[in-house]
Amino acid sequence: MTELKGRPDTPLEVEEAPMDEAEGLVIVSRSFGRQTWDRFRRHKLAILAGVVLLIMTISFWAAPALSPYGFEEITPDFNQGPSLEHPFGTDDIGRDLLVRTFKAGQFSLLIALLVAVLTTVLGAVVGAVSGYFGGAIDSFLSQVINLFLVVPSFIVLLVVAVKWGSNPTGIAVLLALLLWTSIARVVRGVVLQYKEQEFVLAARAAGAGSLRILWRHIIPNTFGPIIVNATLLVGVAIILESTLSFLALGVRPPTPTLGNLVDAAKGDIDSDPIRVLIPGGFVVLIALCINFLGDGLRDALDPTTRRVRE
Amino acid sequence: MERGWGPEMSVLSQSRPSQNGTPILEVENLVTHFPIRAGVLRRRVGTVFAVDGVDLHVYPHETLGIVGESGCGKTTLGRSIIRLIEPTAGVVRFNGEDVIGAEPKRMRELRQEMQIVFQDPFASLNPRMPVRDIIGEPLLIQGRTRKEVRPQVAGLLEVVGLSPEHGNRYPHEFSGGQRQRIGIARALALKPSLIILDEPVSALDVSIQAQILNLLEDLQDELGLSYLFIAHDLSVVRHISDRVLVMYLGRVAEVADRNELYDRPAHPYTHALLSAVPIADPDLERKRQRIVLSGDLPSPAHPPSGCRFHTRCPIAQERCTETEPQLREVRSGHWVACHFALGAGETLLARVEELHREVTVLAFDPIDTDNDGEAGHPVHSG
Amino acid sequence: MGEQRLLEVENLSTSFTTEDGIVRAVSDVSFHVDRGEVLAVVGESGSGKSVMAMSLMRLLPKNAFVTGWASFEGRDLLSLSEAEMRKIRGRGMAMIFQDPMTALNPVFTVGNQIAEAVRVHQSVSKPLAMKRAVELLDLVGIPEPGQRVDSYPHEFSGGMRQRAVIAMAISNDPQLLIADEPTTALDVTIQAQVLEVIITVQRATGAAMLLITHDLGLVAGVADRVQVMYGGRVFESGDTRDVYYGGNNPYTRALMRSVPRLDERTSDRLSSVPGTPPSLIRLPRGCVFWPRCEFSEQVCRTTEPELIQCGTDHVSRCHFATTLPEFEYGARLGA
Repeated sequence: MTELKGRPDTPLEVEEAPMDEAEGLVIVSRSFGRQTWDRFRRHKLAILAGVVLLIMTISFWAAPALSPYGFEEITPDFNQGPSLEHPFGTDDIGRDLLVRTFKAGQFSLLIALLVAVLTTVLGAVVGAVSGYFGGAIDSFLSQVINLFLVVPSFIVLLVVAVKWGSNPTGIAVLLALLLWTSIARVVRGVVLQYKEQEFVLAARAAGAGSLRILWRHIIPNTFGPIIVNATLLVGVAIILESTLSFLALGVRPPTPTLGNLVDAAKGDIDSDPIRVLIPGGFVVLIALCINFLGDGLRDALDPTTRRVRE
Repeated sequence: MERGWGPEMSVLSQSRPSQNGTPILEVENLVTHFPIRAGVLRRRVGTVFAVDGVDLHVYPHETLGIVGESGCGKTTLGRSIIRLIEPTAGVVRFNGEDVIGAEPKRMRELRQEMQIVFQDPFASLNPRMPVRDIIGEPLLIQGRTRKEVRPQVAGLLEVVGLSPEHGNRYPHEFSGGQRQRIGIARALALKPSLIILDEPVSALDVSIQAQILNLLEDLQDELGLSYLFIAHDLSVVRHISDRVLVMYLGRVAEVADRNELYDRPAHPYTHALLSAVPIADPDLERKRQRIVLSGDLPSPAHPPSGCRFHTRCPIAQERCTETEPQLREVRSGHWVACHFALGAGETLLARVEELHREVTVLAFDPIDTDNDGEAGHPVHSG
Repeated sequence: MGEQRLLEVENLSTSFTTEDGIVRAVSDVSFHVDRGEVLAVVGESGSGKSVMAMSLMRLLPKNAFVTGWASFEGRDLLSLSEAEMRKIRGRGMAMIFQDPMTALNPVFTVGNQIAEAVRVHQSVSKPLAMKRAVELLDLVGIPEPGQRVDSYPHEFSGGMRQRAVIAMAISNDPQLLIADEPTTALDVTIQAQVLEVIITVQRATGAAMLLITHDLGLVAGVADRVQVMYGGRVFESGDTRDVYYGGNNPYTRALMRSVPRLDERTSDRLSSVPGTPPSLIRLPRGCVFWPRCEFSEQVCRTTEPELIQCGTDHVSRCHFATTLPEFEYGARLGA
């Protein structure tokens, strides 16, 4: 630009003043991820939820590993209340409930994570294809999504769960089939919004093909909404899985999940309420933490809360 | 001529373009229609006649300004020329070569020659990419290696008045004017000879607007660029353009050299448009008689019959509702699409009075210099 | 004097607490509006002109902090209760916003909304209020107001919507119209229509107007007085001619010279102002304009200038307000 200085008709030298000096401030460069983290950090509740969730997750794995009992191991102590030996007591055939509860947390969490992964993959692919290519493909996929939404899927789920839902993988697949449409719709919306953005047009003007545009410009912008929705789905999946297992339509004992533990203990609610309250409490706590975390992520990843100069 | 981006960049021709010689861009009868679809089966229920038969030429080193109000198709026109939107029909030739029919591989090469700068400095930069990648992307797309790209990006940042260190930052860390500089740098990366500037300054504050206009003019002189400058601001277009083309509902209303068009508009629409723009000079502004067109802009989905402007034209006659006027040359290089074009020096108001028609005129009282000056008030003249 | 003054503002400051720091949007602004006059407030984005108006209407978000004194028809605006303030909004001062779409509620008919605005302040029957709505629509030049009164906002074009917004604003004969960029969102020919309506209405009702805009052309035609704002401060204020032709403030001068004009015959470079407007979180020390000012000297970097008297009712915030080189307005234009 220096060559352009001092043209005869220029009364004062313009342009060349460094912008930052003129603004009176130098902004420290922050990457997108860094900003997101800075915004997330301000959500104390989301941070707390994340920490609690992390502690729970670690203990779900650590406790059974450290315990002298296996989760399917039958001890001679039947139907015992909490004691030093068995802090959560034992069930009617003498299994240690602490180990079973934490192992159940492990299974429930794994199922929920599997659901999140499956829904995200299915939903993101369908949503992205539908939104980006539009036309007949979009019409068809949108109808498929609508079909999933209008079918009373929970009833269908109850019916199919009897047949395939008895093991953890089966139930995860079923829940994913029930839940993927919400991700697909979110991703389709985001893709539709971004594919007409001028930065996408600029890439096309430079000769970029569809793949590059999807990969470099559109997909990165769907990460935020996908992460938020997948997180919230984990919470939904935990609750749904517990519900099904509680109704004895989900994972069957001896594999413990938080839902079937409550189911097993429901007869003893008067004599030994702690057996219901502990696994039930875990379900509530996990769902709550995940929702707080999701809210925090939503704010942190929402581009509209990006700071704007006044 | 090989152009580098380093500090060795030399000052090229400073002379104003001449319109002799062959045009760099020729557009003939360009048509871009959009279907309006509705219902589950997405049946076509209508058509938006966004661009409906436009002819234009851009000569080397020239700026052709395109003005018009919303719905006139100016943005669609710009995008259709470089096939960001596929036109429905018509011919676009770049240096004599057919653009519309170009094979994908050839089209990709042609894109190096024709670039575009967008209006919205917020939407036109990917928020997730550092500026370095944004500017370098066209080069990577066109097959340059990352090693080649890096110094070029640094050079480009300097060319548009930013410093190379800015490359590591993200778009949100820049002000509107700086983002527009980034958008310009990206357009320059492939060393194009034609740049379509789609409302490049209308989102900017006035003081920043001037910086960007000056930058564009400098770059044009320096690099011998041709511009298609699309805008709704008539003052800005007059400032930057060599020739100006006025659009109304997908058609060309008038095209002429800048001063010829602004000083002696022949189309009643151009006249009314110029009359609607206020001038930032209190004494002058309060002497003017500004014609206010009645009615709203018709929708480009339902353009009026005959001359599209006849529904709002204060001097329209029977013929205008039936026959669509074609562009004709009224003076040298001055083309107008009107059956009853105004003569040189003839004002629209005079013609209206001649026809004993009525039109709303906005005129302000001159300022009473001894205080208590009343604000202007509009009068209705018949 | 007291009879004449409609609105008097002294030392108005507005700041916002945000995650990035305190945004000082308006700093120590004093001005007045007389009955029936048009005061234009001119500035770029971030100059504080809109926030200033919203502060007076008390329509700011919760994180805003307003200090100062503002008297409207003798009543202290900043200390009124919310209930009393509601009586003033619409009846005393009414606003015309930039975006006519967001100013109208999409689920009610235009007539309903105007009638509702009437009934908030006047105890009239619904049919009577609707009749008034038709009259108002007629006044703002909407054709066939009797039928259009039952239209929904989306059935109106942008220009029609802005007319409806104007009709709503004048429905209770306010003493002061605050128009915030009333024509900016509209097409050029529609801008002229709406401007004509605003001026007709303003004269018909005798209301004063606070016209907030960045458009120096708009101001040139309609304003009695002009107040130029920059960085939340008043930089210059005076009669329209004095401000445009006086050349007493470097920022005003730069602004005037950087705008291309419709009647400009040459294509000489515009004199642009280098740099960008200051961040309102970290304003420069001294004069907030010094980093961009062609006349700045050492004193400008250390001391913020006061408003200096340059003539009758004409003040400029510059150390050199009265000693700047002569300014020839429009010098750049060709013959």
